[in-house]
Amino acid sequence: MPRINLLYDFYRKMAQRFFSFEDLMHHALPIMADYLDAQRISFFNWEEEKSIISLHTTSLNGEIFELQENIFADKNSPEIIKFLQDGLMDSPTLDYPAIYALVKWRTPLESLKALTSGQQMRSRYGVLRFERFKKSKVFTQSDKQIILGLCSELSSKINVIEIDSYHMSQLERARALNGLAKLFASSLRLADSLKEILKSIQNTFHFDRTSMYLLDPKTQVVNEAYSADLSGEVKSIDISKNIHRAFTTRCPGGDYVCPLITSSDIVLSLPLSMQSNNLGWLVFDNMLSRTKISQEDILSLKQFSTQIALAIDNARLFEKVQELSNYDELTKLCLRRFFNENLSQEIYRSQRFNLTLAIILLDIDHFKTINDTYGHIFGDEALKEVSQVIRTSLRQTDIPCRYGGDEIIIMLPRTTAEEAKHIAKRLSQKVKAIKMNPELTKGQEVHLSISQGIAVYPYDSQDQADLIHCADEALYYVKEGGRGFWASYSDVKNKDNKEGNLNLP
Amino acid sequence: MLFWMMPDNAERTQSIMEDFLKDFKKENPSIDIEVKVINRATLWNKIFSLRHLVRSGKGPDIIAMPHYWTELLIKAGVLVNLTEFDKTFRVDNYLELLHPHCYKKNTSDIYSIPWWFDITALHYREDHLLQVCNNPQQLLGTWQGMLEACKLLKERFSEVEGYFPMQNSDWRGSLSHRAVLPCIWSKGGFLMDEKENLSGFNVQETRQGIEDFATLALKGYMPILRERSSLGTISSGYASMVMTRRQGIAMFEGQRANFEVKTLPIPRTGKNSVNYLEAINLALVRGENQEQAALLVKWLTKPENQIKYAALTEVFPSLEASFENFLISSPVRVQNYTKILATARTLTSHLASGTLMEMLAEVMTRTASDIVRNNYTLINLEQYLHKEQKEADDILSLYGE
Repeated sequence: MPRINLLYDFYRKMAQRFFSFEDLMHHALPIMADYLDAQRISFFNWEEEKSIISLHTTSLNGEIFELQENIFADKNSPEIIKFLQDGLMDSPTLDYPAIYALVKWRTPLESLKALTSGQQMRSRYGVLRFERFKKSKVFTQSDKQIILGLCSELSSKINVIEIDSYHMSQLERARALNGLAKLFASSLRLADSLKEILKSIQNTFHFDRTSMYLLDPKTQVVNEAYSADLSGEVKSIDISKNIHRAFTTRCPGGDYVCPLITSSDIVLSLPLSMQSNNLGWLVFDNMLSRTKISQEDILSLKQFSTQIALAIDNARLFEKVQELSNYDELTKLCLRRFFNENLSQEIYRSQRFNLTLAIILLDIDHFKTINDTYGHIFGDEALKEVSQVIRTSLRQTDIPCRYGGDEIIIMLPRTTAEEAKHIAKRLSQKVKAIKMNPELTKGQEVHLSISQGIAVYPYDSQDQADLIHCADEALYYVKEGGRGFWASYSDVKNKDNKEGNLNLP
Repeated sequence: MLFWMMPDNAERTQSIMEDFLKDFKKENPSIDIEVKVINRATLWNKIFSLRHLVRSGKGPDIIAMPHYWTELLIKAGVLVNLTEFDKTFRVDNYLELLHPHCYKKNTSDIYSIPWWFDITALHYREDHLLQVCNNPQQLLGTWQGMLEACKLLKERFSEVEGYFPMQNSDWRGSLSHRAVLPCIWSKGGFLMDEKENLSGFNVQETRQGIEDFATLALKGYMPILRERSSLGTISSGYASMVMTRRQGIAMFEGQRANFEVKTLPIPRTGKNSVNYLEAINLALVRGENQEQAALLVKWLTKPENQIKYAALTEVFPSLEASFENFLISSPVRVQNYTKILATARTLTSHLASGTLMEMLAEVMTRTASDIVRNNYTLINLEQYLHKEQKEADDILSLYGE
């Protein structure tokens, strides 16, 4: 086929959209090999930094392979300078006809500098090697002209693919980031937010690992850390285990230095700051795969770190507000509304799984007299001390609540009357052991005691309000009997049966 | 069903595999298999996005991969737990050295099955060596002796254009990071310490092992970074020795060469010779075709098929019984490989093993470039190793959970 027809034929066969570099090579290499009667044709990437050309794809007798071959190619050597000028070079060592041809294209530059300087494209090079295994079939001048023509057409196709794929990736990134932005704006619960943020980042950017280290707002020490790994699963990191020392090593001054790593192109660390407050930092790493983090990703993540910090700050604020609305500031015990909601759920659970549930209603004996005698400050102090004893003496599943004034109610899931009495006894002993500050009582020793009434679901009542009423009756019964003790509602009923026989412990 | 494999047989991989699978297709006509040959570098990059490929339904159903990648792929959450999937999968009948790489660490759950393995050895042309020494076997027992042999051979064949004493078996034509391992280990160096929390790039013995290996290229005894790494082959007469993990014997016998090739363990750089053994394991990827993929894995790992594929690929079957049969079927093979296998060593089964190998590859690539540029210095090598040491320690800290 005459050269002009052949080039037109190639142009026609290449007149379609290629979605990737691989697509293009798989299509073009066999056609080119056919035109040139070359048994093997290979495409090499030029890795300028390493001064090598590295084999990307080979087509042998029409079949496509991915093999590996590195050839030294120093751009400063006279042979290579000439090759860059001429676009063609005969093989220096192979003992059969082989020729190298330059493929040159331009690719969008992914750097912050490029975005501001307007220099947004850079030149890239590749090399084609045509091989004929018969020694006699040397490449003629006409063959070389054809090769130059084919390379020129291939270059323009690569240009299109580069720009297409850049736009596609921009579009995908914008879509993904929009999703992330929505997530940040909607997250309120801190733990959930952190996990969702990490999961979304992993799914969008495909890092080997994304970690988040959070500082305690008061101490500025890392007190919470999460990480999402290759599997996308988010886990809480145990900071005490001396893992992650790479990212949480303390420098002599006491500040956390993050990250203490040598290769900045595979690890990115971004601070999470809100109005000059350091909340912690995010670490994105490709340390396993050793894939460079692109400038595009860095740019996007920098923009989003502020939003992430805002999301964390919002979630923390939300939790603080929740805490304030659910807990009494003086006693640190929960408030009645929070308690009632939880009691209602616990009664439902007890009913469903056939469990018992006890409640203890208690108050400080002679609290009004204490207040009147020693003042409200002392009264508040007494209430705080008793609450502290209660908070630290219960199981995690138990919920104590300031029910009103000096009245405290405790919900004890999966607890029988006998077990509740044991708890009541323990609380009573601990309260009696409280030593109040004598400065508040002008040197007088004041001992506190509590009276406690117990009611048990489902034996005393199956109704929430009625159950509390039963506990209240038991408390009244204790007070009538002299205070400082505890009794269950069944004790009250027994008393009624036995007509006045008090059954206090 | 999509099967990802590496170019076990270079350019012939696809056709050999397709031929090989014909029997399977006869037995299972309803199963359609697409074989995709992917080189190691591309495969390494692909496994980090495998989770996303699987999620979008574009992932493979089976992967043939270096055995020491198993732990990494388990971590990525893309592999099928074979023990849970089918109780008949077992690995206790495979070569013991390969066992740890099949299980999820510290569990009895199997995630990959060894398909075949290869091991480093030194093959040499006796006719060439006898021209420069009386007892090649003795001379080639140590690295220093081998370098001496290279020197003598280079002088002897100085008039043969394109001749190198040592053929470069690295497919890339560079300094192979897998070929350097026996030199490092023999010297007492390591990539990861026994406790698996510190790397050994900066250890003096590791550096010395690399220096020993690099000497081959530095002194011009082995070609690097040249066109078609096949230049200077032992079979064409343009080389006298080759260090390769493939069984040279089968290759040379097949070519009916009129010269004898002998095989020895890799010459020792330290006290003892150590040889690097690497297996290719098969693993099922989570997806819709798991049942069919499991059938293929079972078929590929059948004793007779392991032997057949090993012979085609010049490697070894990994089933203990098949391996023994394979070995004793050739007296030369028994003679050559009994000693080599006794000194076999493989990489630690660790999530970061693949990464540490990539780091070693980076050091070797930079060293190779330096040598070709006449820019090789000990200081440069130390700098490369120091950088990798820091990074590797960080990785082991992060992923040592």
